Amino acid sequence: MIPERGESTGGGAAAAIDAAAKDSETLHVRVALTRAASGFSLDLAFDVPPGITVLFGPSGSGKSTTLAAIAGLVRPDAGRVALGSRAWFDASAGVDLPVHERRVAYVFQSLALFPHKTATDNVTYGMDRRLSREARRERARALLGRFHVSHVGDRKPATFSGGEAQRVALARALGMSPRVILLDEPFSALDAALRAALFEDVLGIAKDLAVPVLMVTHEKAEAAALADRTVRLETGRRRPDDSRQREQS
Amino acid sequence: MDRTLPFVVPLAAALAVAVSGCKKAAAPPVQALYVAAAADLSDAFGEIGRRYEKATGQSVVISFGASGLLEKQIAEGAPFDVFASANVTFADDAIASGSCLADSKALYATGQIVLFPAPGAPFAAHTLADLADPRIRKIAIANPAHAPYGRAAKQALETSGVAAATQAKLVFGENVHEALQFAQSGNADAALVARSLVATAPDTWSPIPPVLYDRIDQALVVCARGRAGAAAGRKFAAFVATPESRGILTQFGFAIPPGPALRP
Amino acid sequence: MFPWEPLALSLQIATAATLVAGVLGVAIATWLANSRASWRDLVDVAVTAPLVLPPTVLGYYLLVLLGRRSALGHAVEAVFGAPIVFTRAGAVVAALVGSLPFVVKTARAALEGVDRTFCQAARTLGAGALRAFFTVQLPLARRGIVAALMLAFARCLGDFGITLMVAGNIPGETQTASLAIYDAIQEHQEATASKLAAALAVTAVVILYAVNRLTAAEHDS
Repeated sequence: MIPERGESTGGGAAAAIDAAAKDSETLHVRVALTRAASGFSLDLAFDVPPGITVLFGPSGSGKSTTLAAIAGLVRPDAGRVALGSRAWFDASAGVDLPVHERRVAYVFQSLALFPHKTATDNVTYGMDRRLSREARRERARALLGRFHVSHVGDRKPATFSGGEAQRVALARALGMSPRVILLDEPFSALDAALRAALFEDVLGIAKDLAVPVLMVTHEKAEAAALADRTVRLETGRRRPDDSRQREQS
Repeated sequence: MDRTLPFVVPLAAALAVAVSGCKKAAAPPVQALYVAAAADLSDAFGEIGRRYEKATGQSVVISFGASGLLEKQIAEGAPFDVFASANVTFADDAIASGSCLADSKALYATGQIVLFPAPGAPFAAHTLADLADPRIRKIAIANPAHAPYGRAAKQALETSGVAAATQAKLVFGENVHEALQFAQSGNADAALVARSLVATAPDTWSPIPPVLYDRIDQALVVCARGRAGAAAGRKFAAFVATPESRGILTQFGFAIPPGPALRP
Repeated sequence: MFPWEPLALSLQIATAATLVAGVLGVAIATWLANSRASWRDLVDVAVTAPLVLPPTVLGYYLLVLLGRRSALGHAVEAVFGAPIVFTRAGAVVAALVGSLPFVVKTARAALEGVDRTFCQAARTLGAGALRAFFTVQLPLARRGIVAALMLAFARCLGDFGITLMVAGNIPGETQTASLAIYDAIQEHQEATASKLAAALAVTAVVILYAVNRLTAAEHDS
């Protein structure tokens, strides 16, 4: 059961969540890039305010590339990526903040859980190195508990079920006290029941953290269930009939 | 990691052997004399070195190899005190490169070539004239282009008048060792090789009159940048000229150059 | 009397050379695996080129490069008081040059075999390039890298031509097992040669068997 707002989940989880809440601002994205080899080109601009924004579009429309550009894993040819007034990337000003300084939690489609580390070690990986080892492990335990996967704490990802892996990945993302959360097709490998459960988790995170959450999907149902806003992509461009806002029900 | 344990054990044993070598391989307390000698001198100089050690207490470390290679290494700073070459040219080169002392150059021996018939060959050749026989299909010699023994072999064939008859049958080995191996393995029916290679088995070969070829002078030089120093090198070089050492050289198939004092 | 000295020397030199080749080779392999520079392949070819040259030729050029007449040689002598050629250190350099291409090729394959997403995940989680390498890419490539080191060790043990030229064949100092075997054959001491060759072969076989087991274990676990 996901705890209601205000109910304590233990010092660790709440502390992790609080730290990020202070940083909440809108993410401004404007990217243009061309891949000479494949002829693919991306040119779009949109904002991601705190809450869940869904980046919606068919395969190959450039969704993952957009996420990579926001995280700093890919360098756009032109444009600007900024959180609030802080520019992470600005082509005209020559700004390109390295990946590891952006504090963007990126949950890959494959989850990319480190296979040689336990769930706990995975979750502590992104935590502030100035904290003591014990403090980090304590926070990790709390986060795993929040997602009801404490029991896999000392096990390695090869032994996790699909749902457990997904949850550990989310816990790891939260562990780094992110300023922005990027989710790349997070539910594609799961069955309907697990999906529903994880929807709740993601909604819960978004509410607690109040940071921009950008979620990529090509599933209409997911978009409908989770999005506060939707950005529609088609072959690297926004669709003309885009930007529907939706009240959170 | 459990799977790797059985392999860690023998590896650890290997390392233990390696470490044990550490103490022994440390520099000898008394400075040893370092000698570079042509490969075919291994028997002769091995014995001479042992006698020298016994007589003087000076330990001798001998590195055997191809004379040309040794000369190049000396030019690049190899720490040998004495260089005993298989021919004079390399000794001259060593002097020319500035590594070795011109006034120390001395002929220590003269090489000789002999005729070695392949065991089990259809026809056992005993003289150079025999080599013209059609049953001798292949004759192995060292490459005349860069081996003095090969040049001497070719010259002997010419002087004895069988060059035309044997020209097409010649097979070149990289050095006299290889030429001998061609014959020993039966790939050649006969070989012209250095006497020093086969000196210990006198029934297997026939001598070739030395008048048929230019004298194969083998010279040694003392080198300036050796570990023990030129003085120690000269002492050893002088020992190589003594009747005792000459006896050893003769025993192992070398001839002594004419004249009491070995000077070119 | 078993000639332990050349074997001990071989093991010492091979161990030292493997360690250096390992660190240097993995560093180069990492750059080759992760870089996107256009001249990356040129570097790969340059590192692999020594494999093409005959060892004695390679050894000769190395000798000229590091010998007492060279600029590098003078520098070494100025700093250490002794030349590097014709010493055990020179033998280590010789073995190192011969085995480096193997380390680089094998380690690069192992590092490239690690899914890029893991490193990317590490970077997004706040790890700098070095931390991502040491805590994620390297551990995940561990088996391949160990195999690379063991291949290097076997190659170092067996080196002949390069060692002969650069370190010389000085008994007790640089006469490794390979050189000693060759000497023994030249001097018609076949029995000694056989014993030494057998010992060297057994060591190499044990190592190669270990390599096989380690790399096969990947699929078992």
